[in-house]
Amino acid sequence: MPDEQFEHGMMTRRSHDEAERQANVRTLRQKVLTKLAAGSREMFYRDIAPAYEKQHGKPLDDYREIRQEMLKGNYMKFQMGFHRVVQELMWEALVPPVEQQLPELIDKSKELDRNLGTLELDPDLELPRYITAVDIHCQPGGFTADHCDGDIAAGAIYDRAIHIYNSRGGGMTDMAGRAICAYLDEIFPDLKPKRILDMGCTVGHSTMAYARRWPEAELHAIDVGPALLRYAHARAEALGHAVHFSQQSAEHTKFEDASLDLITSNILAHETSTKAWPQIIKECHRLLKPGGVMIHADLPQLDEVDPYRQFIYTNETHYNNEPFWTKYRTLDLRKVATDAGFTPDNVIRDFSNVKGGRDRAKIDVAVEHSRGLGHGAPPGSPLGTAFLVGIKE
Amino acid sequence: MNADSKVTLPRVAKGPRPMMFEDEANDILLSMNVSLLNELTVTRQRLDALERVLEKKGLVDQAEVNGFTPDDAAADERDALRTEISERVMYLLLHQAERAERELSDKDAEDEV
Repeated sequence: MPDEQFEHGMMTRRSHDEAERQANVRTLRQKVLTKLAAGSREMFYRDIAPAYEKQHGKPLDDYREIRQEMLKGNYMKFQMGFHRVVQELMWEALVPPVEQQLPELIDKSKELDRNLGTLELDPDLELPRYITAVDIHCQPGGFTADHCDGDIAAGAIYDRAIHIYNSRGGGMTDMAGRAICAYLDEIFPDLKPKRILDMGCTVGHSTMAYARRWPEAELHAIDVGPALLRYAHARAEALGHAVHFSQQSAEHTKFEDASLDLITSNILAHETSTKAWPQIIKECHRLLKPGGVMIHADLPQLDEVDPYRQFIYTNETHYNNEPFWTKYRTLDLRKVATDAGFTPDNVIRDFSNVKGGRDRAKIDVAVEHSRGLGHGAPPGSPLGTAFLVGIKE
Repeated sequence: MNADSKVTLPRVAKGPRPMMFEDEANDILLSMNVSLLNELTVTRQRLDALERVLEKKGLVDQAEVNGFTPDDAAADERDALRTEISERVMYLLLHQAERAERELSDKDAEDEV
């Protein structure tokens, strides 16, 4: 089977045409867009950057200027226009089957509940403005839409979107969670968490990796979207994992001080805000037991990649409803963590392809290499997923 | 709202819709083209599914479909279909060409008068 998503019990059914429409959007994104992007990268190094340097007597290495230069030609306009259209077509292909089956899916979410885990919603929770201001990723209705009693639509839509969006998530779309497990196993081999919290869990796709890795642990997962959480709960029950989902903001949770051994998040950071992210790290510091570990996964910061990748990364802010994306990538994360109370020696900035741990020199060399990459560099970040790790004293 | 009454999910995302081209007509055309491409693929795959189902039932032989050679009458009909589809996709440019031609002949007519 060519890289199919696992059809667990909570999945939305699809007719031949609906499935094909979604599969083709995935192909457009993973195969066609990738090819287009390789072409524009080639044009940049072969023509645009040398011509600029010749004309201005200085290298083209500021991502804002790179954007200006790249958008002078039609190729990049078509590539980025195509990128946006593919994103829109993804939701166009995903929403109708969910809409059609909604009552049935809601019934199914209730039938699947085997009381392995729990679900606790908080209708009084004030939804953070950074999540509701625009529909992140252009998903119509966003993460927090709640259309009716027992609504699960946002989760049903998002679950299939992860697989279309990410070519390397695997059938369980849990690659990011597995990457965090693999990192922790290598850098903290003695870590045996008894109580875990996954922040910004959406449908719990990464959360399941922790459930599998530490089956004995008490596993909690929070998000602010009620329909996402109802779906996540049903999905976990269908997959046979005990997870305690609750509707909470990661900025201020209801968990007690020093009550957790491990806190995780996956691509949550860039969906928050300049104020919220430092507050979330402070909250992690409050929640961790002495010796407890927090690990937050996201893409590398701008100063950890070459100027052309900076341009590609920052496109997301402009074209994919990611208001905080670029700003987040300029934060000094080490400082955010030490300001939150983690001692400098206990803050690690690391990457899935480096795994330097406390060997700062090894990580610095890898980042230096990443920053200096130029023509001929392979697509994708050589650093892999970026981690912000903090160990509570 | 109760789940039993029909829920309509939103189709448009909240937030600005950036346009890539100075003339946003190009963005709209691009969206139509890619969407059309998507639908064409869906249709082509449906045809493929149909052929495979029919073959399984012994009603169609894929090799026979692949090796199909139309007779003269069928070849003519297929050629007409090919042209028709191409012209349908190219309709806007063809309209412009037709208009230009008409203006030319109108002008000729005026000159003659």
